[in-house]
Amino acid sequence: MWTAIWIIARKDIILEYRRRWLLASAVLFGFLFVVVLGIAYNGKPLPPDAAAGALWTVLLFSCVTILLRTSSFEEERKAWYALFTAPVDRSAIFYGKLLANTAFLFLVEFAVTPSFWIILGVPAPAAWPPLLIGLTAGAVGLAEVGTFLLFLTSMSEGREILFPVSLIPLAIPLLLAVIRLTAGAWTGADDLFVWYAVTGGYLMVFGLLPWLLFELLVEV
Amino acid sequence: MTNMQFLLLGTALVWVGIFLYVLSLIRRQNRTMETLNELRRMLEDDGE
Amino acid sequence: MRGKGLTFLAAVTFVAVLAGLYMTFVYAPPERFMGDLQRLMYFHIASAWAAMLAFFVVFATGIGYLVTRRTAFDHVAVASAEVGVFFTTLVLITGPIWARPVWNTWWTWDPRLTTTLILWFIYIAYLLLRSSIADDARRRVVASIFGIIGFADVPIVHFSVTWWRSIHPNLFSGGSINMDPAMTRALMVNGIAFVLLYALLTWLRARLEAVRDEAAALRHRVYDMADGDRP
Repeated sequence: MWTAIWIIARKDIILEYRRRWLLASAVLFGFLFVVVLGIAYNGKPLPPDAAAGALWTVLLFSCVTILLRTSSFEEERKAWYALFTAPVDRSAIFYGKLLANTAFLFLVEFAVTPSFWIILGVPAPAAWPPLLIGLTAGAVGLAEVGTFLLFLTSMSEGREILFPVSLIPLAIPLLLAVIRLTAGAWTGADDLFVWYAVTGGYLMVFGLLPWLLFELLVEV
Repeated sequence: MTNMQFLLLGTALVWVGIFLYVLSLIRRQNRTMETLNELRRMLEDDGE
Repeated sequence: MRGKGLTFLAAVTFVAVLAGLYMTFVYAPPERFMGDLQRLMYFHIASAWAAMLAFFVVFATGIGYLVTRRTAFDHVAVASAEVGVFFTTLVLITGPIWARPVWNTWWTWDPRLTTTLILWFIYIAYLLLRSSIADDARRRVVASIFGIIGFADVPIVHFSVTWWRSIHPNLFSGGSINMDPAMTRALMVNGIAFVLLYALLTWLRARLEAVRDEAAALRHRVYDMADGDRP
């Protein structure tokens, strides 16, 4: 099981590495977004709440874009059929994909976030742990819901629009929690326990539900 | 607007909304039944 | 037999709705601070209950379909989701109408109002996703699974939004409404009326879905025969 997950994830990462332009474009997309925000705010530094909100808006857009593109690769070549004939537990395919997608989202997040305080003049955070944990949990959580919804919407005719439309409402608790954590990193608030709890609960629920449901989803 | 007008507006929206929804359900049902009967007729004609 | 059941339900619902209207406008006393406007609450809260029941039914029938693979479950699921979105829309319309004169704003990030809004988005996404999948078997499985994860998300949404609003200073501490026993009774009657209304609407909608399925199956047969006629 673990080797199967690892092999699938490695395959995806190697494939993405071979066509680096996709990840580079996603990162560039994030940078451009940040520049537009800087112009929109008329060159003034952002207050912490607005900065946290803006950061996650940018990250959410970049994540949706990258998730949609990485999965279309396999569909264009009808590689799913080959993947599903692999003699492994079906949910291993899900967790392999999840691992690879998490890696891509990490890359985008950690490339885009620094530009935030370089370009937008946001001061360095007062406390690092909430920011780093927020970013990590955000990447894992978005990858969890995102990967599952990518499979769920794969038969839909309007996938490009229905994927974000179904992802965002389901991800609201996660986004709320990581935005509070990010804002807390700047303001130095110490009553963040509840947001760690929400993040943890969300990651658990959406990490385990696919294990129960994925088999049913891909059987047809 | 007075409070009473707000109350009447809200009540009207709720019940007109429910009425229109029921109406649309019945219309959709009738239309689909028509299509269904037409399809049945077509199948019977072909069966002969 | 079936037609009788529907007529019976419609009749009972009609009586319950009339009773609810009577309780709302005549029986219940006006509220001390908000006056007559508070009467809107009976429809508002009753719709919210009906919507929650509807989304639970989507969840339960989703599991039912995945276990038994009987299409009847799926017909009830889609009906329930549509009726649930309809009731949620009523909640979201009556909420601001109530809030405007009382709190002097159309929208507040009140925990329950926010949760309702998110639910509305989730189940609209459910309906859109359904209608965008052409393959019948696939659509049913996908919809059932989305109904399950959507409902699993509800408590997380609710708790996170509640904590969010309780950590921040609440601008509009409207205070709890002093519930007169007569008001509680009026709310109960309206609650029963709306649950019956939910059952009636869902029944009608599920019946429509069943007929649609039948029509689609017949259409396939017609096409097949037309294909067979060709030399």
